[in-house]
Order: sequence, then C-alpha cells, then structure tokens
Amino acid sequence: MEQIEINHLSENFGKISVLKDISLKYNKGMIYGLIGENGAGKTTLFKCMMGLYTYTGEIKKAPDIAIGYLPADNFFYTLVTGLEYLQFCIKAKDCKIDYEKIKTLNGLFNLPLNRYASDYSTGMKKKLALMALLLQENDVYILDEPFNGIDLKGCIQLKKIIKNLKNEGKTIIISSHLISSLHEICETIHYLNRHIIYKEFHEESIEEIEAEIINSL
Amino acid sequence: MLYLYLKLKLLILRRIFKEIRFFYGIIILFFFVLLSAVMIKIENHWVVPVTCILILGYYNNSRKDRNFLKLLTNHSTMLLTQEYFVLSLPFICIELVRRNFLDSLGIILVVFILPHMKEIKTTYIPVKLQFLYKGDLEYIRMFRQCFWVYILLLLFSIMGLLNNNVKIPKACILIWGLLETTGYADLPNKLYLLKFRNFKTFCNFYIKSSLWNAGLFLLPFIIMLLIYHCEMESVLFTLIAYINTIFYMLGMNLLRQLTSSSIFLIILQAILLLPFYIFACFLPYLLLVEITFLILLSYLVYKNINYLWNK
Repeated sequence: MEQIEINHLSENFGKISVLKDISLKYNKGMIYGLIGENGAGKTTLFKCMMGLYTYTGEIKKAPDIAIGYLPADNFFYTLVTGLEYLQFCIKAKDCKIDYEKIKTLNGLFNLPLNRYASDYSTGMKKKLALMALLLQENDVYILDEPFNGIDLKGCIQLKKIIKNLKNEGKTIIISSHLISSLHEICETIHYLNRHIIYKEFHEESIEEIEAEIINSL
Repeated sequence: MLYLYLKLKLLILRRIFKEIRFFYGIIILFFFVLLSAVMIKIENHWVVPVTCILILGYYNNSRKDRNFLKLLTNHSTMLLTQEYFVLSLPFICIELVRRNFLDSLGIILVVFILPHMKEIKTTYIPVKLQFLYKGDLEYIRMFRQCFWVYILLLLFSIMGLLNNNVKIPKACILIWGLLETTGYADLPNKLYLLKFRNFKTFCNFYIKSSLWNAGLFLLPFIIMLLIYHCEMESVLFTLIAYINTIFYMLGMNLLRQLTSSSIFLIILQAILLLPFYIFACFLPYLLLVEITFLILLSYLVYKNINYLWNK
C-alpha cells in the first residue's frame, strides 16, 4: 500500500535546477534510503515532501497519515528544556503526553531532559528531535542524515529503533552518506545524481553500489 | 496551539528575566515604559504604526522557527498572524485611544500580510577589501554590510557642507563611528581567540586594526571638512572623533569577552561605552577617564580569558 507517491516532481532555485522529473513510490512498512552527493537535492526533496518548498509535479499522500520529519539541522528555542521541548512537540501534534513512554525512550537515549535543549551537543540535539518524532506516533518518518553527529552506541540504537518502527508497519525514508548503514537496514536505496533518480538498488552488495556511484561521477 | 505556543513564549520570557537578573530586568522594563510613554506622547501619527510595522517586520524576517512550526501544525500561518496580533495590540490600543482608526486598521492589515511574506535575504558580494587591516574579520564583515550607509553618509556630508552646515558631516562621523562598533557586537567564539599567540598579540592586533580602519574611513570626512570648512574647531573635532571611535571599538571588543549573553552586552554597552562616546565629543577630557576605564577593562579581560593560552 502506497503511503507517498511522487510524480514528475521538479524544483528550481531561480535558474538553478535542483530536482528534475522525480517519480518515486514509498510503500507501507518499508525502509527506504536516499543517497547522493552534497547538494544533490536530498534535503530539497524531503522539504518538498513536507510542503516546506513549493514545487512543480505531484506528491500524493495516503489519507490521514501523519508524517514526521527530522531535519539535518533542528531548531530549538533558547531557554527551553529538553522535556519542555518534547511536551510542546507532542501537544502540538494533538497527542497525549505519556511520561512513562518518555522515560522508557530516554532510557535508550540518556538525555539530560531537565537541561536547556539549546545547550545540548550536536548528537544530543539530534537524539532529542528524533525522540520528539517517535513520541508523536507518526506513520511515516523522514530522517535527513540521522546518523550525523551521533555516537557509536547511538547509531546502533538508532538502527534498532528504525527496524522496530518497520516491524510496527511504519514507513521510514532515510538520507545518509553511510552506505553500509543504509545497506544494512534499507530494502530499497535511491541514488540521486544529476538532479534525477539515477539508480535504484535492491539486492546489490555494498561494493556494487560503490562501484556504480564511482562510475556515475 | 496558540495557547500552547504563547505559554512556551511566556516561559522563555520569564527565564530571560531570570537569566539577566533583577537589576537588568528593571532597566529593560524602565526602557520599555519610557518607550511606551514616548509613543503615547508623540504627536506625529505616523510614528506608532511605522515603529510597530518595523518591529514586526524585523521579527518576522529574522525568525528561525518558521519551518519548525510548519512541521508541527497545518495552520502555522494562522498561528503567526495570531502571535503578531498579540504583539501589536499595545500599538493598536495606543492608536485607538488617540482615535487614529485608520492607522490601527493599517497595523491589523500588516499583521495579516506579514506571515505570508517570504524571508528577505540580503546577499553580500565578497569584494576583496585589500585596503582594510588584514584579518580583522569582524570589521570586514561590518564594512560589507554597511558599505552603502558609508556612501550615503559621505553624500549627506557633502550636501551639508555645500549648504554651509558643518553639523551634518560631524553627525555623519559620529553615526559612522557607531556603525563601525556594531562589527564587534556579536559574542566572540573562544576558538577564534585561540588563533592568537597570546593576550598581548590579541590586544596589539585589535589596536592596530582599529587605528588603521577607523582612520582610513575617517579620511574622506577630514579632507571634506578641511576643503570646505578649514577651521581649528573642525580639525579638533575630527581628531577627538577618531580617538573616540578607536576607544569605543576597543572597549566593545573587550567588553564582549566578559559576557556570555547578547542582551547583557547591549545593556553594558548602553551603560558604560555609549555615554563615553557621545559626551567625549563635547567634553574631550573624558577621553582620559575612558582610557583609564579601558586599561581596567583590559585587565579584567586578561584575567578572564588568559587561561586560553595556558598561562
């Protein structure tokens, strides 16, 4: 069952073309990866999907699905603690605050929730934003470079969390430069190159994917 | 959502007051009350709506949470409209009390339009500025941002002198001095300080930079004054203004090393440095007091940041 369907999506910034005629389908209960060079348009594609950018083409979403987006750079209000940030994000999505769930989830992330979120380290900020997404109970998770800045233990936990989400029937779309991590958890990896979906990988080995990327440059 | 959002904003406001402490909170409140009193008393009916629109416009353009709010609610535009309405309420009330119904209607109209406006981004062409003291990145950044103001000030000065009004170039010199100092209004990054060999190199660098940069840009004003109004009084004024600007820039650069809060820095600047800058132009002996103050400030900064060089 399709959760998101993108048809002939194009996006330009002035005269610069960032995405050209992108068509993709994201199905329920699957994990998708998105790879591409810096400036290839991964974040732009995500922002189009979230309605943050205007675009030409079509993005169809299944009715009544909740989509959670983890940007590469998260915004935090100053002088607001981690817990208050979580409370705000949960309430803003009309969800009920389950303190037991926050406690359980924080058992994994180990965040000092009573400290100001803006004072957190890069990795801690990412973990907090991800925690907020998980507590919002979304159907689709779009994660832009979720492994960036996260420590080794955090990365292992994150991969576990993503796999658990898939088992719960959620759809996850991840962009990353870590091919090995994506290869480990994703069923499909899309390679964004020269503003188009250049290649789709399913069963290929890491070596084959890397060779394809090198040849395409 | 509005209730939730305003609750969060009020919480932040309460914490800001807690952070800046009671005394400075009282000073800010005093300035706020003073500003409100001026707004009410002022007779020109344009001042209140223009001030309100400028404040809201700046706030709307500089806000970083636009995308964050968009991701949380489908009605983010409505939320911003409601927030701007709450913020503009005092101004609308003032206008209603003064029976300027059209002005209050104008403010409300702007409140509805602002959330739909895209962020205005200014781009600065990275023109090479070889004539500036190399390495003083803050000054280079300031000059790239304020270059057009400098040209305007020069033009105003020429116009003033052509009309035999020497006060205009003098005012322009003072305004430029104030703008030059804004280059040092950002909080410093400790990593940037580590680029210097030690505290002495740091001080020497900024003294040389201020001497060169301030002098360079004052030169056109001095030449203009000498051509059109060659009097001892004008020469003395430019000399004092030059020293004054250097002291202000150095003072600001030192002061920002002592604080970790931008608001606190603005307050300290307004209390300690700005009065010196303004009054020393008319009472030059204040420069002696200022230099004593700068020496004291240097000592405090030395005590505060010298640990960076492990000494």
